[in-house]
Amino acid sequence: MERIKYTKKNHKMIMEKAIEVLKRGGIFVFPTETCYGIGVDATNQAAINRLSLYKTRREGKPLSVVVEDEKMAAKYVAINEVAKNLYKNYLPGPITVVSKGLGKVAKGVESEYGTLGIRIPDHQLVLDIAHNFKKPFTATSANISYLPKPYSIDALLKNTPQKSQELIDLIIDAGELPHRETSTVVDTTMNNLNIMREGQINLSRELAGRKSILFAQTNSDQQTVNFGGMNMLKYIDESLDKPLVFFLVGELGSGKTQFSKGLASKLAIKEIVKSPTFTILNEYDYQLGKRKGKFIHVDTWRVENLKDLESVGLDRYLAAGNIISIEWADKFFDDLKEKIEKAGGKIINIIFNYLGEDVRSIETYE
Amino acid sequence: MFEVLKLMNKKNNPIILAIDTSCDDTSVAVLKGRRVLASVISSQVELHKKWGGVVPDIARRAHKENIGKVYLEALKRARITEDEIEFVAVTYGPGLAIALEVGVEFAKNLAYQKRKKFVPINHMEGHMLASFILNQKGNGSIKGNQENKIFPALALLISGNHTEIVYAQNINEYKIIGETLDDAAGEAFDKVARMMNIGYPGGPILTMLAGRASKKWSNASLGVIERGDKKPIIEVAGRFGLPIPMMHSGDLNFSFSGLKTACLYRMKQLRERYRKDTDWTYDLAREFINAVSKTLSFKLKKAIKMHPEIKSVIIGGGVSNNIYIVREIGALVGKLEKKYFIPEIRFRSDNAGMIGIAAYYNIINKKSWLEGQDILKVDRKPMLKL
Repeated sequence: MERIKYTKKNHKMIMEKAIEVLKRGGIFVFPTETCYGIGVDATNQAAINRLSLYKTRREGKPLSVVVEDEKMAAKYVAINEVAKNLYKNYLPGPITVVSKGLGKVAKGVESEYGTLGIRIPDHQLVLDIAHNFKKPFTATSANISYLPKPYSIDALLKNTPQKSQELIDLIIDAGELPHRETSTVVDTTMNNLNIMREGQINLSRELAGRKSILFAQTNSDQQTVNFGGMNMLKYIDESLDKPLVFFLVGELGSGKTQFSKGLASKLAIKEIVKSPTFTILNEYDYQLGKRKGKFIHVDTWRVENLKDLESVGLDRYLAAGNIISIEWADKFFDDLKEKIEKAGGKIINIIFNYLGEDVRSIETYE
Repeated sequence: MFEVLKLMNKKNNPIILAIDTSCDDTSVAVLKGRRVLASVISSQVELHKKWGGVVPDIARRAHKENIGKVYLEALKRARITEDEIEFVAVTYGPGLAIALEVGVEFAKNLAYQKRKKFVPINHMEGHMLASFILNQKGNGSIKGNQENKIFPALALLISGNHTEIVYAQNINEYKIIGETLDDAAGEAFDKVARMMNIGYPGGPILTMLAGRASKKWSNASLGVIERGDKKPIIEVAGRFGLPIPMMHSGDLNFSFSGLKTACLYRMKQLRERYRKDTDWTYDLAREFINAVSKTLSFKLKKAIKMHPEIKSVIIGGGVSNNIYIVREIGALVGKLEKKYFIPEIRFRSDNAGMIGIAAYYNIINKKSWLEGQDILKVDRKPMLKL
């Protein structure tokens, strides 16, 4: 193990040494803008295995990797709109950006769902190593599993058993680092815009040439609620002999939950109808005279595929008497439509458009 | 004499195994009385590789794969055997139905087959009582026999799925006096982060960006904006004038959907006006958090004024990890001279330790548990209320 003090003067020499260690599958400790990290070539399986030995007891926690920039990241992960935004505006910096991996790194680096965390630390030495090495290296914190994050080499060595220490080839000692929190991990794979766009295309194809049955321009939440109520009154009898399903389509904050409150208000539901984003599906019992059934409020915002909706039990509610409101239904438009039509259900499409701070246009299509 | 003491000790300090699978983490804890002997969370044991948001089907699969291992790890760390467990507690609601199912099934089978007493727990009661947990050495912010000096109390429970003010006459006697009418506070964070295109979950990243806000706008105070014939809006006096939600509702309820819409509206304008997102995202993140903090503290203050007899304020839920929100609430409660309790960091977000402490009080105070065939009748309740 070699320990070198990092000064501005020996920048180049240290960089070359680090690259040499990486190339032969070795392990090195480096400073970042947060704590000390430990690096091995992320594409070298033997090196990754050695790192696991060093960390001890990591039965498969994913490893984030250092790259130089977005261009280099794009060789290892699929970069979508959200990730692009983060690279452009907030990196280099203490953020780990999680994207779908392309399977180009050693086994055990990507997560079991095939995602990979990318780090572009705000530290010139690290960026220069990445630039000249031309491949990603691991960015995990240098401590062994469960021990405190190291901000100085002395603290690191104090907590690291001899056996692990012996695996380190090079330590770049930049002294005591400022105690900044470790990087914030953000997942960019949720709500993939491609899925959404595809859904929207299918929906517009479906509605092309049709005329809206009802239309409202609402100027407040209350008016959106009222318009929801109006739609319920118009279609409620459809639910006598089949499931009635409202597809709610519109961006975040366009009034979908308010509209659903309006639907529920005409079913004499006393509970507060809240956003189902977190639970995916909320169930309410309703009773109007002799008529009884369930009002089901669904939100596909956090849902990745149709199977997820099936596993929250959507199918079991597709029965006569039940009324279902699905927010973001366009995300799985074709599949949902097929499923509901198979169950003999009636679909009403509600399209929300944003006109101004409080102003929305809402259209009803059959 | 010694035997009697030992028996007493056993009676008041039952060994409780607690399970929570209400969302994405599988979590198992072992308590001896109020002391948490072990609290294991799946992402912590590194049994499954975590990156990624909560996708229901994956969550269920992960829970199924993890729960057996997390259970064994918890026993190991607590240094107890299965035989020593007296009570099995589990979250049966509220939460994600298919995630809850896994924990409830596991707990039911364990309790029924091994003849343990079974305690189904409301997840929100767990958040409510997380401050009562003692660590392994028996230390905590609420000492033994101090419990009675805390009530009546108000609890502010803030998480990804809930935003509630609860009046607690005593442990196990609750009434919700304020709640969200639409989105929960944690959910608002996620959605605003989505609008800003900065990924998921929204809490940590928005908080990080807020840390870079310009000083000028950081310490927001209230300002009143006249709007002609419309009601004046009391706003956060920040750069973008985001409204503080529900200042005029007169009740103790919350609503975050209007704030979300206001953020959307501001962002549309800002994207046109500025070349770089970073010209405004730091300040907007900070101002959004200010607006959330202010609405929480405004309603909490109102609740305290309406119930001056309360002795303390208890905080719970993952959103209480947010430093700005905690600072705001802490300052308010201090000013009103009430006792203030907030769980240790590891017991703020979802965890099984808090399910164990809730079970403890259900056992000790209410003698409430199930045995034999009755255990099998328990089902998960995704929309369970306090």
